[in-house]
Amino acid sequence: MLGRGLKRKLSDYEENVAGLSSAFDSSRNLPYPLKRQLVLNMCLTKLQTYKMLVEPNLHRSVLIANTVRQIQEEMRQESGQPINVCTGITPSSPSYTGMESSGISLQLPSGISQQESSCCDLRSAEDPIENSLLIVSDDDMSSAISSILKDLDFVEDISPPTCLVPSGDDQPKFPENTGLKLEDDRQDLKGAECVFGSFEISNSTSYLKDLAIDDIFEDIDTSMYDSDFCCPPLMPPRPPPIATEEPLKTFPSCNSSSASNIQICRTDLSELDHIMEILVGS
Amino acid sequence: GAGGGNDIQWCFSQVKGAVDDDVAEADIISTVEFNHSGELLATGDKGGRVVIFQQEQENKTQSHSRGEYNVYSTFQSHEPEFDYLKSLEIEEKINKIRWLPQKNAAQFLLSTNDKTIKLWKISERDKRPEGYNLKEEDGRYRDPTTVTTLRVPVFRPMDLMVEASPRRIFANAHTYHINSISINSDYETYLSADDLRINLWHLEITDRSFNIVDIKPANMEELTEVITAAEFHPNSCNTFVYSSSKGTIRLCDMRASALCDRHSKLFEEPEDPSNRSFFSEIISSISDVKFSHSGRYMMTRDYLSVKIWDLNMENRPVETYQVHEYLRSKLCSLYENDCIFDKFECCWNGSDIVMTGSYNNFFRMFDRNTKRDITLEASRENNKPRTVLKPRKVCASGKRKKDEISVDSLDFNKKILHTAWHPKENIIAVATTNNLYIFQDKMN
Repeated sequence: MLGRGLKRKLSDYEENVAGLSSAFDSSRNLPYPLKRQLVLNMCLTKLQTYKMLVEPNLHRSVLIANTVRQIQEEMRQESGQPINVCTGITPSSPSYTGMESSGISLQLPSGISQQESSCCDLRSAEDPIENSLLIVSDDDMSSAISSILKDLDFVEDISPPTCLVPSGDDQPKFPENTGLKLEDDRQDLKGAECVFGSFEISNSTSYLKDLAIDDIFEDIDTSMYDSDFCCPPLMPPRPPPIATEEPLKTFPSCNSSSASNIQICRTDLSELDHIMEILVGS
Repeated sequence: GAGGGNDIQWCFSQVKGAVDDDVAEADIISTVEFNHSGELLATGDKGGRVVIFQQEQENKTQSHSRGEYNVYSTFQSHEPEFDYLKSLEIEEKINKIRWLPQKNAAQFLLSTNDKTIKLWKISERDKRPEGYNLKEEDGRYRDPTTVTTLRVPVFRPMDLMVEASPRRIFANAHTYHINSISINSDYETYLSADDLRINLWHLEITDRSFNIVDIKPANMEELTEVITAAEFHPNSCNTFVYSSSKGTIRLCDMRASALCDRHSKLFEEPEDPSNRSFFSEIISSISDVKFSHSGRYMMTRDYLSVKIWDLNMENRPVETYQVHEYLRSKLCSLYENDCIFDKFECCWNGSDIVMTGSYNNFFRMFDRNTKRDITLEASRENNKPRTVLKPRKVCASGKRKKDEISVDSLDFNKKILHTAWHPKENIIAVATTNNLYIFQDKMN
């Protein structure tokens, strides 16, 4: 049931899933574990698709991850222990997205009892619905959730956007927390201490000058920045790095991750400086 | 309102936008908002444009209808931007528009995309100075030696020109996507909310904002809830609410602490176990929250229902209205095609009637006093002015009666996400994908 007027063309896979969804909605006889498996697979497929996007939707990702968690918890409780009935499907396999209905058949290790396999209630291998469902392990579910959420953190919260927007009367001010060298003296840093000193989540001066930052952010995944190509912002430059003595203009809403950003930027600082100099021609 | 026990009879008034069935992506309407007097109606679209309509002064001879809305100003509010550091494009789509109350001849509104909020001034110019001594009319400077006499420049009338200029740009304060802006009743400050944080701004100050709510966990893998909407209380300038993806609403008092992570009140309805499904949490996610004009009640919209909450009662809503309960048995399909994530808004008429959109270009109204509800359709087929709109009905199951529409025939691409009610009169603006419909009640 997709309704009239739906313009997109459905691929075979999508048609199959649509058929499954309809079956889910309309059939009262579909056993619960099968329904659950169907939903789980849809969730994991969506998460996988989102991972491939440059900027996954945080709201949707969280909702889907919660649904997976819920199913995961249910399956755990049913079996009394973490489920591990993954069969021939490794976590790294692309099978989450490659759900062709004809191609996949379910295989169970012979040792698994009916009770343990309650999460994948099989009838016959020829049943087309079951043939298209994968069995996923507890670990797979957890890793799918973790990886999308971690990705979201990394992609989103590195630094505030660098965009320069033209203003009417006001000169836009930029947060100082990236550590790139200031090229343009036009940027008028109001060295004012913030009048509103009461906010708690802030880039307070001492926080940024504290050089023990590395310890806190050891576990941040910087693999994105390990590539050779480091794209410097082509927009007007940022205020000076933390090494200066100028009192920092606080920008409370832009968060503690600025420190992680500084760590990342420091390693590339000289390289970026070099590129900036070339670009600005100074 | 629906006073005197008479139900409102809605009539088509106008429709704005392309007739084409082929919708240009940039024309998709993303927000609709009346100003405080109702004279102006603003829409924002996916292309980053704002179009403002102005109501004609009432024509005394045409007593059967109120003034029509005509285009008053169109401007490009936001442009697409590219964040080079993250290799991300920032969409220019206008997520919300909020009007400031009028203080002088000019009008002000806030418009926001995912990352940047802008304060726009819309002003009229209907006179221009003429008769400069040193300049020609076209602006070129005259040769001073040709000036033989002096005159005083005077203002002469000209064709009305409406100008929009950006007066403030509030940027770089949101890491996540902005979903709400709300102007405080002090008319000096406003809040902006993204998925994880809420910031407080002063309208005059663009280079800093306060973070007043932050729900980002230290470890993102522990994230289970996001902020979906936020609004200031209409009268109490220290109070605001924000809704979440788990169906809760938190009321916060800014006097309690600088960082309002601890709510003053938590509004949450326990789940109905008989309705439990895999999709229960997803459909409980609140897509909009709006205070009634009095501030005594607030309304929330989740996927299937509208709930009215009394601010004095946290443990359950005082009223719940089903918008399209027949979709409950279709949730898996709606999840598959992502419709389950559609974010419907809702709006009040004072404190008595609430309105929200649905699919198939249907929209619904619920009268809190009479307990009656109605389903209407925004369609060009009904576009004879002053003809009363025919109520629509969806047949959930069983035998479909004449004039009913079966659930399976509904067009899920035709969704009404944005509606607005005139602050003083019974005039409503309903946005379909790329058209804006204006309906008004039948005047006798």
